[in-house]
Amino acid sequence: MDILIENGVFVERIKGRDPIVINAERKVILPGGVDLHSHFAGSKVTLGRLLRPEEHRLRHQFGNSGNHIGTGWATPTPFLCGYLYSKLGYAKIVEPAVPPLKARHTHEEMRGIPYMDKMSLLLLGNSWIIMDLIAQKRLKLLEKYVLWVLWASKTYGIKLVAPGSGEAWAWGKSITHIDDEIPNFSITPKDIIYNLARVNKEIGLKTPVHLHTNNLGSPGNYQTTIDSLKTVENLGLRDGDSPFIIHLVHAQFSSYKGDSWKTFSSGSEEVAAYINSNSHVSFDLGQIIFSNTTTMTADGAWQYNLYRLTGGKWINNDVENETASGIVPYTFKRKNYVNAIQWAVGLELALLVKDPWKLAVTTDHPNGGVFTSYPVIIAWLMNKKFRERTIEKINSKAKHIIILPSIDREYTLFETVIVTRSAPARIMGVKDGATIGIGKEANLAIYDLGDPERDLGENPVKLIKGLSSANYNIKNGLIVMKNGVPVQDFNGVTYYSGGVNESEELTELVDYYFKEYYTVEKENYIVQKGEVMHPVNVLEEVFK
Amino acid sequence: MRKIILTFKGHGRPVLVYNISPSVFRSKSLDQLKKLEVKSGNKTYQLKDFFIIEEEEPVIEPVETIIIENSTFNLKRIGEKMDTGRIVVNGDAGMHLGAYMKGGEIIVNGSVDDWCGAEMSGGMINILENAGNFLGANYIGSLEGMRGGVIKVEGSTKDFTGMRMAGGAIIVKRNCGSFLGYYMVNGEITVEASSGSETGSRMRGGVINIYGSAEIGVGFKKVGLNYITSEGKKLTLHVFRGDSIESGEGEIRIREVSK
Ligand SMILES: [Zn+2]
Repeated sequence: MDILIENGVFVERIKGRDPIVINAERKVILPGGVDLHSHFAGSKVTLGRLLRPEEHRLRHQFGNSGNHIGTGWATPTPFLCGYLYSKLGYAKIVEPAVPPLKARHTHEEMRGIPYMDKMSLLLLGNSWIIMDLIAQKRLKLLEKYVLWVLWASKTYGIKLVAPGSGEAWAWGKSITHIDDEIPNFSITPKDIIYNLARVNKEIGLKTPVHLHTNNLGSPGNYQTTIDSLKTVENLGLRDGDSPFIIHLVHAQFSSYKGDSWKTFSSGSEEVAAYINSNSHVSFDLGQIIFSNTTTMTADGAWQYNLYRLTGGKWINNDVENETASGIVPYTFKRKNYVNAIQWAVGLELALLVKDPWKLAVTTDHPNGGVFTSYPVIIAWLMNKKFRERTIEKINSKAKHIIILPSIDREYTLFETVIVTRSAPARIMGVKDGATIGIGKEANLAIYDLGDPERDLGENPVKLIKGLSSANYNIKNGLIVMKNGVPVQDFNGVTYYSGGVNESEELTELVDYYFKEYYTVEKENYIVQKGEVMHPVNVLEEVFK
Repeated sequence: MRKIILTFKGHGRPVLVYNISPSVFRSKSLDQLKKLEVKSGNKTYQLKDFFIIEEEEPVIEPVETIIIENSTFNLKRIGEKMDTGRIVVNGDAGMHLGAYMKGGEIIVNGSVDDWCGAEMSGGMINILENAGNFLGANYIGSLEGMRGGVIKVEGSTKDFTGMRMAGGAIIVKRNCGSFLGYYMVNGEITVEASSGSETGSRMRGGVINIYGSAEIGVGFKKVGLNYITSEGKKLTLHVFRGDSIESGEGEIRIREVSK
């Protein structure tokens, strides 16, 4: 069978002469991968690089054959990041935590990441403007403001990180329940989740609200997670490719039982049962990998807790009236009781949720591990024996209480393609970019996974090796990588949403906050299209 | 025993020779050795571009000894990550000599520049003249410096000797600069002469012996006396514990506290 590509798309017949022919006999050909949650660009990634020079000694690439140099293990520099993703066979990546004020910086870095199409999600869960508008019940204006701020930052969708909790933490307080009132705002995290999920549906964004739950990382948080998902149950489904109303990010970190670190255990059965019986939720794994990494999130409160547990170097940051963040180096250890449970929770969720279209493989890069570990996760999902080999090596107390050993399910190769390509593309609303079909974007990865007649999951070592380095990565019809080596320069597009407003009420609102609170002028805050690599607005540029 | 002699032809700028290591040379033929990668500036060269390479007793067995003749401070990263065998440097050696070293032995018949033995975990480095800054230290960002092995310096060293040292031993025959054993957590440093200011500052564990004088901070409390014999001479050392700012359990034994 032949796959034909011309002018960047799959075609039925080639019109031009002398096409390049690739013999992919006995190889596995997949659509380019889609990573819908990976912290690869922006101010906290840069701060992570500054905090951990030692991490940059773990991986460096010299400039050979015209490609750019780069360093970094968990926080690779932009060029290296693009090369690594491309080597893995990926085509589209999503930076999931952009404070509006730091959007320009994020785009500056994304411009330097070759090959990938990029999207980014805007942090709105602790924004004073958002919380004020909800408290004042000015919900129509809220819709307009969300469209404006997405446009101003050239970002793609909404991200909520522990809504309200960063704000409370800045006052030295904590929010432990989604019905707790946020200091100074007389609303609750639940109000934020509900209203932004509703706004998201109303204004027709292409991807659901992405939620990082309150109490993330803490024992017993699975109840908070289910409560948060229930909050938006009655909103119905969304129109378009992505029907989900809410996307639960790195669900692994939000699915724990127990009331202390000693009684810490897996809540994967409860969370998976909820997801199985409801159709409005999609999620990604946030699988942990036993290794050293640099954790980073907008959840400032949680990072402060993590710093107190580890006692090493750390950064916490407050981004004016918008959000917070924190960065803490961390090592996930097999023999650590809590880490061993966390490892199991991720895989349990992937194996207990029946419909692969609801989930995406991620490590919450770099929080659970680095994205170059994805092939290992695929091997764990496809091969029960391979899981058992890891289970043998983990903490012995944890080994006896996890349910993972009792799960027999093994993913088929087809299912792994869904959870690394089709499902994340659908959740992000870019389904056509991850499909092999006539007229669709020609993004392909060609892998040598051994004898295709045999069960590819059978030999995990070969599978991991094959998936880690694609023979070819073809992006928009161009061969960009060959056996892990960059072949030519190419920059993908940057998708964004939102539009410029023509509403006096909105102008008045925004001007007020810039006058009263921001340290920058509105004119300097707005990211211009010229600052973005190949910008593509998926909504109307001007709205009424 | 197979022995390789490398005579440095000289070069006006630094040359990165991380491949000069018995662990890399192993059973490679002379031809293969000539082609080993060497970097200078933004270019990649081959070993033969900078060295005359000779071989003694070309038997089919791994390289045991590498001798570098005419060495200068421009040769950087000699013996980096080596885990076996012996390197003899005739002349001075540049930065990062024996960094990350796991085993084997390096002898320098001259002086070394900064970062000698940084983050090494085993083996032996013997410097017959002086060493630079950050001897046996950690690289920026890492939490641990030297973790094992021995570094012996017949001359003096500069600042930050044994920074964040976590194991092994450093012996210095003459004076050290400031910040000796800064943030040290374990291991032993012996200075047979004097050291500068901030000695043992932020020390958390391990032992520093100073047979001359040194300046120490207020975070150290005197806990007793220690009597030793060094090269036939009896010495009385004052023993201090600290640094209390880090709730440290380190010990500094010192003949004379300078102000
Ligand atoms: Zn994340």
